[in-house]
Amino acid sequence: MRETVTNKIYVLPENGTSYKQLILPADVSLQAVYEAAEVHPMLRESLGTPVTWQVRNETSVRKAVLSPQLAPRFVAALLALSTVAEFGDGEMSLEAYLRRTDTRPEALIALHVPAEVRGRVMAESHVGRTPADEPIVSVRAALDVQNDVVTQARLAFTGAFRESARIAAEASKLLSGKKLDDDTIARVAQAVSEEVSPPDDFIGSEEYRREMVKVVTRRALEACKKEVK
Amino acid sequence: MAEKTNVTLTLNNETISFAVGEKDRLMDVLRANGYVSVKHGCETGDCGVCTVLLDGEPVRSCMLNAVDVAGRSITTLEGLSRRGEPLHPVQQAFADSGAVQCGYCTPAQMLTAKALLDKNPNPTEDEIRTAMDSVFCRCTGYVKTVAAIQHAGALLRGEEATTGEYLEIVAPPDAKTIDLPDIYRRRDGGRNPLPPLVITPPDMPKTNIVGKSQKKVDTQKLVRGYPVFTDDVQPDGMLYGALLTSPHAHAIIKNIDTTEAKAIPGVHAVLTYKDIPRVPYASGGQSYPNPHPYDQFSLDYKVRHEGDRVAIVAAETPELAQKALRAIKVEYEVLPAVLNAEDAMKEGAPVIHDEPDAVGIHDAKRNIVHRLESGVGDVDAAFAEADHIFEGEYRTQKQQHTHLEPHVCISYWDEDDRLVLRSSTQVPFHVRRMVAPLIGLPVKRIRVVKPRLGGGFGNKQEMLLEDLCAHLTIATGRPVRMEYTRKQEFTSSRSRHPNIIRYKIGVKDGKVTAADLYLIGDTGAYGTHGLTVQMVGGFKGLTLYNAPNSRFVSDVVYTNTPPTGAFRGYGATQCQFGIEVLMEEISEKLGLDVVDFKRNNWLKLGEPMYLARKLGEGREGFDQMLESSGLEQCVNVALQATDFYRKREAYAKQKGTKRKGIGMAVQMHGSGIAGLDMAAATLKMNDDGSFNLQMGATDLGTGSDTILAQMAAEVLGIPVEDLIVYSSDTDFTPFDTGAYASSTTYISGGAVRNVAEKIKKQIQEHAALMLEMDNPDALELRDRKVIAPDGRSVTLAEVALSSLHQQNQHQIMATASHISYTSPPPVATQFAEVEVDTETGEVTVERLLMVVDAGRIINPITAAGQVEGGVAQALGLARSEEMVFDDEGRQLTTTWGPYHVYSASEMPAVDVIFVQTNEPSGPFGAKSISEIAMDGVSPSIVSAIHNATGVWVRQLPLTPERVWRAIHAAKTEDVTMAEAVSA
Ligand code: FES
Ligand code: FES
Repeated sequence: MRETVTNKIYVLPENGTSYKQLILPADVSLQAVYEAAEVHPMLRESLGTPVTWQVRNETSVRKAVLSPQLAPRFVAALLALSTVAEFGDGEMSLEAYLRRTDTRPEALIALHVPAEVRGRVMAESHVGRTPADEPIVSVRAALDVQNDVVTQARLAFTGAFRESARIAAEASKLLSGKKLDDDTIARVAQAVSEEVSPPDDFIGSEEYRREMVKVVTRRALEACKKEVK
Repeated sequence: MAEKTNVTLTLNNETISFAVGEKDRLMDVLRANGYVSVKHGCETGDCGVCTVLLDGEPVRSCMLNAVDVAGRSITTLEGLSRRGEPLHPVQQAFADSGAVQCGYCTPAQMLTAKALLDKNPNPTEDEIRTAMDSVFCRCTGYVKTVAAIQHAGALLRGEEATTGEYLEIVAPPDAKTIDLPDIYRRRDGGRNPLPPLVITPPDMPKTNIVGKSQKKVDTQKLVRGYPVFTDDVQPDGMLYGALLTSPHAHAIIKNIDTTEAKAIPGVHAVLTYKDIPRVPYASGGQSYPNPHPYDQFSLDYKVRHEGDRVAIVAAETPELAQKALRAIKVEYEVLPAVLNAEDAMKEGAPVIHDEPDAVGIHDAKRNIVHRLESGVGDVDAAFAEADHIFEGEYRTQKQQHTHLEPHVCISYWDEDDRLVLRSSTQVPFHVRRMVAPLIGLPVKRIRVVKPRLGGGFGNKQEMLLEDLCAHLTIATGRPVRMEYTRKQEFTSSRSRHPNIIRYKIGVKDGKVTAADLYLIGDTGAYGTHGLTVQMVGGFKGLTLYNAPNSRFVSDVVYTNTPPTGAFRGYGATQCQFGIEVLMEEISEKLGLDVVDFKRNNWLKLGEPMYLARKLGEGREGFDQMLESSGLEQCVNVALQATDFYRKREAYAKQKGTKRKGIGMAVQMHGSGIAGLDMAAATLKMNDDGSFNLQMGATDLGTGSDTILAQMAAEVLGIPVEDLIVYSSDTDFTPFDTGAYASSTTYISGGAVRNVAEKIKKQIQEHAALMLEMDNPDALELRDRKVIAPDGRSVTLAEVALSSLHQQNQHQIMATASHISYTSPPPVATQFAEVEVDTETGEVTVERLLMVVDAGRIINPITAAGQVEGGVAQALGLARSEEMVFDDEGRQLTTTWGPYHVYSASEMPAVDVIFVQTNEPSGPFGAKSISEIAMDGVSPSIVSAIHNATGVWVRQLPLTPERVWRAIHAAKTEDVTMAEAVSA
């Protein structure tokens, strides 16, 4: 029996933030996420083409998380936004949840997308065969910046690891405590290209993907830098 | 028997219950219960043509189990308006806007549009495009789809709105500038659909019905989702056929055991090569005698590509058929495979056709099917005298048609023990003749019926399922249905020939005086269209610039990949890609303006086409001359509409990583095969003055039924709705070679014009009798009447009643045929505007403008639809579509995901301008339109990329990585020109 896809999203009010904490029940449809006014644009954008309206209607958040190849950019956006998975036995970061091998589909209850931290900057960059094709590589970056210094960074990629969506953990760490200057950006872009383990196929060779990972990381971080200013 | 549950739901506002199995897909349940507007296009959830509304939201019915929608509300197209009711505004808008071509995607598109407009009554163009990303259309390029939804929105909002129109301006062919309406300059950079613009010379003869945007004669049934496609009507007692295909690229079937499969209850036949006669044949639907080689057998002991035929079964249900396939035990001896043409020709390469009984292979040991050598003039002397000699090599890839309706065939015995094949074919008459020897029946015991086609683009010019289906009906005595899966469309049907195109061009005093083309054509595992595609490629690729000294050499080569075949463009697309890029490379090298250089050299009015006699299609051709050409005006209009020179200059100076580029190409095609294609049409008058128009021509969605009816209506002075159009059925319609080679408007149109003239004469004669006149020729047919010079008249209904029941009783009826010994080329120019990201190699195509001379445009809306759809397919060829194989020959691109076709939201602006000429040999001055749109997109994009970046990319598709590598290589060493062009 297929699960029923429902359409309720819970928003927890928190003062002083632009985007409030969001609870995405596991059985909510991706279309409901796409349409919800409270959803951060980065999440919404990640559910656009090539994820189609039909797919969004038929796919629950649970299914999207458990089969990340269905909407990899959405999962990457959730990872970048430090999403927490609530399941039968408790809570853990979505990143850790995705790594678990004993994941039972029905155990996932909801995703908690934390409220936006003051000073957070976010950006997306990708390279694709055509504008509406699944990108060859893409990055979603979420950086928390206090007094020009990055306090936490999360760079989530598609097309760069064997997994459909994954955080470049080491390179993300490199950003912490740093000013977002050109030198840091270049070093992080280089570090990402060394950290990734991209597929090698006709859509993009490993060499090309590594190079493109550098380009999209640099572009996303440069966009973040502009925001900080 | 699987257990059934009763599921109750609301279907089109009525409560309804179905008994369904737990795994029954909603799509199958709906179709089995008569809701056949719900279409099937794939097994992987990619195409969206099965879309229905679930509680008002679009979902793919193939991805849902019927049990899961219990208690929910489903809407199918049948629910939008019932028979006899007015159309829903969305249906009306699709019908009026020309958004319906083959109509296979149309129900899903309209339901998605309805859902969008219910939510958002006034969507932006971008919102419409994004919503439509969920339903593929392979015919339209989405231009008219967007226009239809915009129009539907306006209708639903109660606004006054018009649609389905075109603009016309009159201008002499030699006008230096044209008063071009500003919208065609696209100064806003947008991509909102524009009406086609028709530029007409002042002396063009006036017409009443021809040349107007007549609504398509088949639109109503398509927008209502009536059962018009092959699979929409199924005979009682039908069995489900299925095909076991090879998992290996090259293998011998050492042993095949069907015992277990045959023992499954409900399985009625399991056939292998041991069970049917071994008759060599060629599957390409071509005129008698089919060109060699005859290298196929309905079932064989050897497989030569992944997806090749191994065995067939017929069973009571699709599930049982699949179970039977799984139960067949095949022991293969796997052989080494060769996957590209250059390797296949090498000494020691695996021999693909070593069977002794194949007929007509040039050199089987080297996998060379054909070696073609032809030429005119003294090429070597011309090269010796040339000021400059340039050489360039270009490569094109294997492209799949991906029509939304798969190949499907239903066979059965009729009450006279004749075998009926109801098939989605472009060539019903060829199929009847070709299938006869394979199944051991005479032609007279076979009837082929072609219902509505859900697209074909050349792929249904092959006999792919008909022989197998027939064998199963003969074996079981029962009706049998066979349909390719989407994966089988990729692995077992046909595709565009990948080509290696090597040109050598000699230039003297700015003129191309010598041309040498060596073409390697990869025909895949079987020869089918190998000969003719390369001949057409050679002819068109050498005639566009028509050097008096030309040589054509081609090797057509087997590989262990799925066979190639006919695909819109048919070799001309590949060769014109090569010559157009090379001509621009030469102009750059010589410091000449590219337009001037091409203009100085392209085929001119009154010029003989030097290779026309030498390079016919599969045989010697006929001498031909260019008798109409608006190419000069096409290019002038495009230069104006794009502000080409200003942009070209500015773009060449750009710095930075995002760079614009503008490029151009010119192209020519043909109108049917000279001296070979023949069509016939029959007209029969009815009691009320209406007519049956029966044609062998097959409308694949192109609108040919409509334009042919327009031609008949023009001659007979009646509206198109007075014609009952029927095509095609080998029992009831006269012969036509079929819908291919851009022949329908020109050849079938000639037949329709001829028969209409005959009928006109019969009507005049009978009316003269009624009016007691002795000069029938003086009678005019107009407004459903026959009018005498003195003002007296009789209606056509009166003529019909009189001739059938009263005076000189006889049936006013005639059949006429048409053949032409010339194939007048439509000519065109394609302009492309792009943005290139020099860091990533991404190319965003922003605008594609095609200005085309297709002679008289019989119907501007359907003609524009042909161009827009062709341009979209050509864009896929240029940018993303490629069939890719692993080292063992297994295809990696058997779904629409990795094999990416352009969707609605990413299409650039696609604009169409017609420059009309009056082709003296064409019906009403018409030439063809359907294929030429394929030819110019790739070279014009390469030209634009070069304008943006300074690099040449000589291999398709223009993927980001390929462009990035070209840019990268140019940065590290200056190879821009030196690599492929040497002076
Ligand atoms: S998506 Fe349902 S048939 Fe293709
Ligand atoms: S009209 Fe859309 S697929 Fe043919």
